[in-house]
Amino acid sequence: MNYFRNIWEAISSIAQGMAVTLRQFFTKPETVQYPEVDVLNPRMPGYSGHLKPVSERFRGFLTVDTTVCISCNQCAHVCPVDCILVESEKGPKTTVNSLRPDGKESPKTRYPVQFDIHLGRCMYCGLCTEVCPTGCIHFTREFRGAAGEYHKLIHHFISPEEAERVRKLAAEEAAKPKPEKPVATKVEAEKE
Amino acid sequence: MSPLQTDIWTLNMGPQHPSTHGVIRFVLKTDGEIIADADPDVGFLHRGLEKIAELVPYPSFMPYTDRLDYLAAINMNWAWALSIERLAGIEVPPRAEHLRVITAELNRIASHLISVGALASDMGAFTPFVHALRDRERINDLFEELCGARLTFNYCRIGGVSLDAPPGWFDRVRGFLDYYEPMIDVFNRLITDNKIFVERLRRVAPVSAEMAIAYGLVGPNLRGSGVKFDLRKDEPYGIYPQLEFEVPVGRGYRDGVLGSCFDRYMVRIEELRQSIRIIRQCLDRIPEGEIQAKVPKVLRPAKGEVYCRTEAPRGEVGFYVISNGEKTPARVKIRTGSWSAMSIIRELSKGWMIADLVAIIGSLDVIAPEVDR
Amino acid sequence: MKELLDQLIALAVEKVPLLGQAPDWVFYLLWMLVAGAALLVYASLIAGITSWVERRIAGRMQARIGPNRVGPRGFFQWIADGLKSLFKEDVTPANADKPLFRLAPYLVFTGMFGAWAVLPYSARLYAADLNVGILYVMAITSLVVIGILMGGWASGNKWGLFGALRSSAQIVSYEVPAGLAIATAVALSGSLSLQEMVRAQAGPLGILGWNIFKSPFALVAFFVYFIAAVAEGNRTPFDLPEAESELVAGYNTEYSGMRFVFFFFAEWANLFLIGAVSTTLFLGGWQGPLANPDTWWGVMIGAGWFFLKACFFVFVLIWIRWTLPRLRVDQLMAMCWKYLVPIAFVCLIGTMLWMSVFGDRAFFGLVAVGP
Repeated sequence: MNYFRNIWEAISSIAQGMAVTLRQFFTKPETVQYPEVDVLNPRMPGYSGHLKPVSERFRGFLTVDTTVCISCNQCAHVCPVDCILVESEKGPKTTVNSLRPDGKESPKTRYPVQFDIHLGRCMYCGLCTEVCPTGCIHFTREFRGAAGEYHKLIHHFISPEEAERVRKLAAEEAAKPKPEKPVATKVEAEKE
Repeated sequence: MSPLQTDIWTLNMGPQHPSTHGVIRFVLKTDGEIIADADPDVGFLHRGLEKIAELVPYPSFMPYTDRLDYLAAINMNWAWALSIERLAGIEVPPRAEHLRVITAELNRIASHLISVGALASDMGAFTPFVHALRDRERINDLFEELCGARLTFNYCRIGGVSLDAPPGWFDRVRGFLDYYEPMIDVFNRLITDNKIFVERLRRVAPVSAEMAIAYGLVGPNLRGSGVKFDLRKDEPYGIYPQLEFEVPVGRGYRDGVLGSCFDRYMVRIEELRQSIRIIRQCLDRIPEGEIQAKVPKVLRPAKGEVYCRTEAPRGEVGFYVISNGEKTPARVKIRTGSWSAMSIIRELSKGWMIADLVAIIGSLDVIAPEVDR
Repeated sequence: MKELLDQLIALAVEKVPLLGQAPDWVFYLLWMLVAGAALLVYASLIAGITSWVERRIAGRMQARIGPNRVGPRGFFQWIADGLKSLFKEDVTPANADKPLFRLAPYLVFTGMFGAWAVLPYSARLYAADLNVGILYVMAITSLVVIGILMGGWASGNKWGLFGALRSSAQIVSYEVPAGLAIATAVALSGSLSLQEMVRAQAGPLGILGWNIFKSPFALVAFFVYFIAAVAEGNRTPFDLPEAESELVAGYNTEYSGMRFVFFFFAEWANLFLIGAVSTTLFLGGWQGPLANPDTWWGVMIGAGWFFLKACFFVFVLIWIRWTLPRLRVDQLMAMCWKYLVPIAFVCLIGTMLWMSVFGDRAFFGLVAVGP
């Protein structure tokens, strides 16, 4: 009797499984046709399934707003893979507002002259964005970043000219006996 | 009458082999199709995580724990966070505890989906694997909304979690559970009930309870042998003591042998249902409040040591941490489930066929990064 | 076809008297070459398109789309793949047995393609009608196992040899139930010629005379034959010779480029072949509503029926492949010798008894057929 039970079980279970695949065959595929469908667009035109576009909190490439950066170096310290390099010069004292919704003020005395992020090393863990007091280092939703050469993965956020300008400013500042407010506003104006 | 003698072949299986689940290598000695010896050769994915842990500050090691088992990153995050919290005596706010349980159980579902799907694909049925991935994709979407990553979440923090749930997230989790719960039955109809699949597994490579304990098997592999041991019940952490759930154990499903590959598989399928049950309870009772305890910016736990173990999808994951009072640990030892599962394969595969070895590896749910660390 | 050919020859000789000098065999040789070329084109088209169809169907069964980049809905994907393989480096392993390694794919291909010559595409549409047609099909498809064994052995790869050994054990065993099931069909039709077998399945509506409706035993024999044919064709759930998750790729582990394509060409051509032979033996071949063998449009409709039925089998084979897991090698043998062979025997004897009771009555003995 086991013999016939085996045959029956085999036939019925195979039929069950085939019913499942047949039903899937007649349902719509779930695939997002990626390059055609804009996954950064919240509505994802051209796609009608249930999959979601790239979310608001998506951890894509890091970017830095160097005007808000106060060169505290906390991001470089917390980075587990040492992919952030910040060098700064002492400059005129000002304050900056945080990019986070709370907009908290922080004093700024140091100006970054070099801010490099090695995206080839970065593991997108987000620890740097959490410790940043001003929110100047934050994630973008951009994820397309194939580079032909390895060194192109190192993103330089401060141009050599800008670095030169800050250095000059810092030298002037060092030469001066006492910093004055107008210098700071001038710096802000130039940055605008 | 003596059986027909054939030459013993030495056969190299892996590290590039479709069913070794990552870079694992076996040196097989086979007599025809029958395995005389399977010598596991590990270390292809060794990254020196224990040494790295000594070099980076406590919070900065968190993203490395993602890579410890990339299929269950949050369970690994949690284990590390819990170890350091015990070491430094940090209280975690209740909302963070609930978020941890919800995400960890979602992650358990995702990990078990890969596990059962990969076993089916090892058995030659590729469609169940894709169907499992189809459902896992929804979990990945939920995680992406919550913490911005789809695989290496880095979500837990020492003393809490990194981000609160975005508006409407809990409803979407509920929606997923409502969608997924019936899908387990569909998946069962597709592959679990399949006669060929059952016959391939139900009597293959049974592990007795004594043998499982002797080899230090943990998690679903241990429970598959009929040992009712689950750290969430037996050594509770987090808010698990307040939650109701059962611990499924192997019991010779489908007239099979206790502790066979099919038992281990069925334990995982049953755990999917239990995880859903746990998440539903947490969603119903999650309190408002802080998600992060007050933790000093530079964490220097007092001198001492701790061994803290938690129940990850691949069984017990434990961190043994020694602190010197510095901002980096003095020594970290990681204990993972796949390692002990790997050690039993040699003993287990003797006398079975090459096709069964694939089933054994698949049912033990060995993944390479956990073995090599 | 011979009458048509003789008419053509007569016409050619009349128009160009010089041709009258040529001996008859020249014309026959030419005819064979033309027919062979036409069949090859037909088989290639079917095999190529089947490869695309299989991937599309597999995609949809797995909630994916499948290839959709080359041409409309990816239809030209098979041409792109073929071209790609053509341009690939043709690697022969250093410790391979080189002549055998090169020969093997052609043997597999020949074994599969040879059977296409006798398929009854329609009442008067066929390349050859052998009076032992079904025996010829069984014999020539057995060539495949030699090719696979040769390829697996000559690769100098242990995984390849495993695949080859499994394949030979499997194909040799499954010839037995397949042969017994075919014998059932032969007993019902009273002929070994494929054309005659189809003609014997004529009946009301073109459907009720089919062999599977002749007796319940024939219905079971049909399933036995189908399972055995799937196993002989190395398709899932019997794809042990190339079991991807166990043997890397089995007998074709070391093959690349064009030789690899030959193996796969044979596999996909075989899908249609399984469908065509099953149709011929049990589902009435080109028999169907309006398929009248005496008028040219009836013949064309018959060809349509034959193609449709064979395509249905191709779909079922793909459907099975993307649903089921694979058997283990000992279970494969157990299934053959413990289940299929006894059942096939019972079917054969049962059918004979049934025929002695009900004679030629069709549809399970309910409908009287013929004069």
